[in-house]
Amino acid sequence: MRRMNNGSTNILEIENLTTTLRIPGGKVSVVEGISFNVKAGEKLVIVGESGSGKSMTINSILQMVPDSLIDSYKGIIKIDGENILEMSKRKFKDIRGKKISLVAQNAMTSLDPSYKIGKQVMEIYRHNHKKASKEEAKKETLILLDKMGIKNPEHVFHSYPHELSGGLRQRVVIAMALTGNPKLIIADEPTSALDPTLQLQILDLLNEINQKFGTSILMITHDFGVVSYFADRVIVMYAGEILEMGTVDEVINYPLHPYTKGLLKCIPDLSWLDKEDKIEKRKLSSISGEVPNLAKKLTGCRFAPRVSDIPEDYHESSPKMHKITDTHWVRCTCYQYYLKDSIAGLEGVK
Amino acid sequence: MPLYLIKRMISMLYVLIGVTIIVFLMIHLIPGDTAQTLLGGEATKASLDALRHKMGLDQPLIIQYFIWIKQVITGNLGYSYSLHINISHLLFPRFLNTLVLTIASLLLSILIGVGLGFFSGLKKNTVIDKILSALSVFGASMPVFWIALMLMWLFAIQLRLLPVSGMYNLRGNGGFADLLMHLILPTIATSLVSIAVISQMTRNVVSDVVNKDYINYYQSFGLSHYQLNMKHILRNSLPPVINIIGLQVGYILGGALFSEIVFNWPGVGLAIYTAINSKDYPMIQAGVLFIALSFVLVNFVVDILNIVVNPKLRDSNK
Ligand SMILES: Nc1ncnc2c1ncn2[C@@H]1O[C@H](COP(=O)(O)OP(=O)(O)OP(=O)(O)O)[C@@H](O)[C@H]1O
Ligand code: SF4
Ligand SMILES: [Mg+2]
Repeated sequence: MRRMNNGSTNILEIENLTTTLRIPGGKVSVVEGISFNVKAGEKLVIVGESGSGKSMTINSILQMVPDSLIDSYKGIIKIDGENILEMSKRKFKDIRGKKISLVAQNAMTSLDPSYKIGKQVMEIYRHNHKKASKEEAKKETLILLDKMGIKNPEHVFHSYPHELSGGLRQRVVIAMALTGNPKLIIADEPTSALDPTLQLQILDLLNEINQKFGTSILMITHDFGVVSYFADRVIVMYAGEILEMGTVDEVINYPLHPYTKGLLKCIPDLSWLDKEDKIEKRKLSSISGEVPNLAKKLTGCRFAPRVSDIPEDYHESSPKMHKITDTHWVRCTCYQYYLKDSIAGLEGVK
Repeated sequence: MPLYLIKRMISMLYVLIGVTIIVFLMIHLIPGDTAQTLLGGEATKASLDALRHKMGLDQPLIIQYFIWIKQVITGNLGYSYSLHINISHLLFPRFLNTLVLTIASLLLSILIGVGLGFFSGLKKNTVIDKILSALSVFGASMPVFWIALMLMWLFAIQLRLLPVSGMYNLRGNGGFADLLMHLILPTIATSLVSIAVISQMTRNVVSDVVNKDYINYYQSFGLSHYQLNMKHILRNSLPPVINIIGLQVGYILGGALFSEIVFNWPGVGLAIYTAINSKDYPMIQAGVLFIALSFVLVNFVVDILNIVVNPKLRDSNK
């Protein structure tokens, strides 16, 4: 059942996933034909501008696009070898929390204000371990809170969410996501609501979890600083498609797609990130041109207007994914043009 | 005892004092001479003076207030000059009857109002939600006495399913079943508006809570609908819903007074109504005092409940 890729198991395999929403006046594909894998123990980060379909990708994997919005999911989403799109709702409910779980985007608003922290973590723990007694759940919860680097687990256990700082709440949210010992945790901008120092602490915690428990992490961000600090591999998304995918080194140091280059060129301001210096770090904000209105179907490459230095005949009308190395893929032909100049540099890397 | 409880009790004491002053002044500032009204135009000066002295009307207002308060505290509400009876003997049982009607109406409003509102809120914008919303707008805009008359006409007079009025069948044995039969129409009349208001507001609160991040987050773990609805959505809708219910208790109590008059239910409302007709001021005063004190007490209980179910409030009140 499980497919091997580079010698390691894939926890998540996505093939040709297209997610279509119903909107007033028609349908719109917010995720379009994307394919990627997350390997066991891997940290994969999806980066892209606002509206590029990052959250929709995650919501598709967790089947959490609201019923009022979803038209269809097409393609294959395999979690631990099983296609969840062909699975009963009941069975998928069992997978959530145990094989795959979510770290909420905004820890300030993702805990129930009416219950104490301990009660909430215990509730999810007991949901994931149906046979666990109350005492057992309490013990495990305290251990988990302690593992999350929380100094005084007993105190936090007996606190209400509003009594805790943002950083503590984020740690609690991560603890909840870990109650079922999932193989993969998915984190949608887990640090964007925090201040820089806390951002680093949370990234460090996730790193530690990844290393200690071997949990794979799929993270979303719009911040190339987070990418370079945290990721093993990167996916660059734009308007529901994957434009470039590769190891963090390939994408940051040898970007091939004009869009990726644009993102990286834009903001070299990484003042908040001063720990790591291995890779040149860049922060992403926005680049010229707007994310196109998805409801209007475009023909031809969306980036042709942005790339002025390439002869007309290099453009594809509808670009396909091109394989550069085993790990580096790009949805563009113009790389060949650029490669002519930098072929030596690239070969040095590969 | 938690500090917030003591704080609320002290502030309730202030309100109580204010309420008694207003009720006291309300009667004493009515133009006209009480003794004259009671004895009629042909009373002699001596008999008027005697009565004034007996009623304490010749004392300064502030002394009269304290005399009255002292009596009220000891359970003496004065003497009814129209019914020739000690008011407390009459009013305490009447007050219990009003309580029966009010509590029955309150329970019905909460049960149906919160139930329908919760359901609508979960199913926001579906056909059933829209039908329920339309019905509740209709229900909320009808006056109690009109509803009461319509119910009486339909169920008691046309269909003859239920008794027309009163609390017990005079020729029956006065059992609990008999009481229930008599209770149905006044209760429905009293609670219909509140059912509509509570369900409408509950719907809005619930549909708000449903969209909260934490509900979404809990859902991501695959919790059952039942667990989500009962443990998280209902729980977090509770504080505002209790507030709404608290506000409605006042309306229900007021509505019960109207229903009593229409259905001849022997409560405080009917007593005040009769007393107004016979200008029985001490009786009016005592009746109004009863109602006002009930209001204050209800608000106190709602306040405390609110603090108990709302952790954030509890902290700011520590
Ligand atoms: N409720 C909705 N109704 C209609 N379209 C929506 C809705 N939510 C999202 N979309 C569309 O789906 C597309 C992808 O949105 P998504 O939330 O996945 O973006 P994102 O990459 O997560 O952006 P952000 O960084 O702002 O979170 C957007 O173009 C957006 O217009
Ligand atoms: S089609 Fe042209 S512009 Fe578009 S990505 Fe490829 S080469 Fe670049
Ligand atoms: Mg998003």
